[in-house]
Amino acid sequence: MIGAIATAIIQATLVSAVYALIAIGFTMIFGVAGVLNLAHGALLMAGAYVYGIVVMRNIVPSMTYHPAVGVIAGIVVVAILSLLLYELLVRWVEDNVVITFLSTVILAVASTEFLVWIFGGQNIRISLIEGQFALANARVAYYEAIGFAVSWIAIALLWFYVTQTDDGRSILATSMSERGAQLTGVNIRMVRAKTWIIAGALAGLGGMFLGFDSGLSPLMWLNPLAVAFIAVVVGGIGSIKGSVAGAYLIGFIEQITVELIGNGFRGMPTLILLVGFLLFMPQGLFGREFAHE
Amino acid sequence: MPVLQLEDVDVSYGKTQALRNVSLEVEEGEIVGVIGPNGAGKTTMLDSIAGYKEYSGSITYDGTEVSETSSGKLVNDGLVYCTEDRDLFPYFTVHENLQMGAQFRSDDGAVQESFDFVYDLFPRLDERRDQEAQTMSGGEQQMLALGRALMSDPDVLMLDEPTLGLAPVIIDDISEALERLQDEGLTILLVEQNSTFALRHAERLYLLEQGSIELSGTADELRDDDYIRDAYVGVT
Repeated sequence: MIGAIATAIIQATLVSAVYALIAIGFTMIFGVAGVLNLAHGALLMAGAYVYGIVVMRNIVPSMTYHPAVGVIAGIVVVAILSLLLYELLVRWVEDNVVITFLSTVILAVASTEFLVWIFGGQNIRISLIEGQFALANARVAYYEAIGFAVSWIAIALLWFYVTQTDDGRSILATSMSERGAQLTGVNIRMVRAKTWIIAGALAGLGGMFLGFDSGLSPLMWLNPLAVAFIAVVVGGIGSIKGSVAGAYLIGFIEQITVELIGNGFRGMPTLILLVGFLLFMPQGLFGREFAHE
Repeated sequence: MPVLQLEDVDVSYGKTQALRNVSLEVEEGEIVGVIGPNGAGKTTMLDSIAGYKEYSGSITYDGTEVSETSSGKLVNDGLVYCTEDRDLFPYFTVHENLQMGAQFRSDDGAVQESFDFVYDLFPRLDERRDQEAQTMSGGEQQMLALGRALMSDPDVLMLDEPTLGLAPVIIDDISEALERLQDEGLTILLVEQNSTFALRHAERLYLLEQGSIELSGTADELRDDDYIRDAYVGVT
């Protein structure tokens, strides 16, 4: 029993770390630009597929680079895709919430169709590193431990950037008052571009670790997008701290549900949580209401 | 040559004209006041100068036409605007708000001097370095807005209604700060509904009514003007 609880806690911690990577980017884009980017899931899926293409023999036999190269490629390519998504599409429609909403959904669905067309609909396994080790009676795969470490390193770097550098602070400042940022000479367009790049890099990273866990599939974006959305509402929209807390809360609730009820009910309690927060605490745990006007 | 010059500036919102043929000059080291009632177009004028509004006519800062550059570039070049709404960063501390004012400056030594100057100018801000801006009183927020603008190392400072809604004792603090800035030789364009305050600080003033400059002159001339006295200063 003790062993099962320890396993559940460890599993929850590991999966939450990946959820956090995904939720942070989602919340930053909402906070800075007021854009609900429903193609965020497509970006993390792109990260996982890029890794597969670059590293895995079973996808492109002629490309079998070292996993480290694959991880870097996944981060860089998705950061660029994210920037392109902003520059080529979102920038032109962001003033209209409905059009932004629809066009990013369409893009996400189109990306699924594209991947089905290229790679087929089946699940494709990708791996970072084989093997596992024992931790308090639980078996932890090496890739899970690496995912956890990478997640916290990324969060620490981001935190340092936005609280200790003028450049990063300008991003937070823009999310609080765009006019204030302009008055202090901040280039809003640059801030938005940087935000999309950061969100893309984090999504690419998170997407790869989701892929190591459950493989590549053209619909792998759907569930994490829901998780990111719920994490952001629970944590408080626009708050980086809140999105991390929200991601962990969801990770733990999901894991407890799987242990006690069964895998089929995995997503249900978090949806109830979402409804509860929307009704009774719409500002979230670290709520600053809607800092963005 | 004036550091800031407006010539025949027109601004309109759709069919309503907010500014009509406005011409105004600010020389280096001067404090110039613009007074006038609510809705006269004072804020519109400042928004246009700061690069946020389209206009016809000419607005030059340091010889450059404002419409040909960007609002961010103007701030970098020393034209700093302290708005009526203050537009502070509500969840940043006092210190972080001030840091934002200097975010584009790279000379750390000079930035530190600006911090020392601002904290010395407003000891209240010094006491509240770690307090979030949103939790401060109106007067403290006004000091912070002024402090943040000073952190940008302005050559010309534009102040929009710095005394609006403040208690007399706080207005005295702001007054004192303005006097020190004047002694430092800072150029200030002061826009105020509070004519008494503007007349006390500005060397020259313009009266803006319904989008047009109706009157201009030195502080002494305007103080003795019957129209100004009856309509704006009152019998205090």
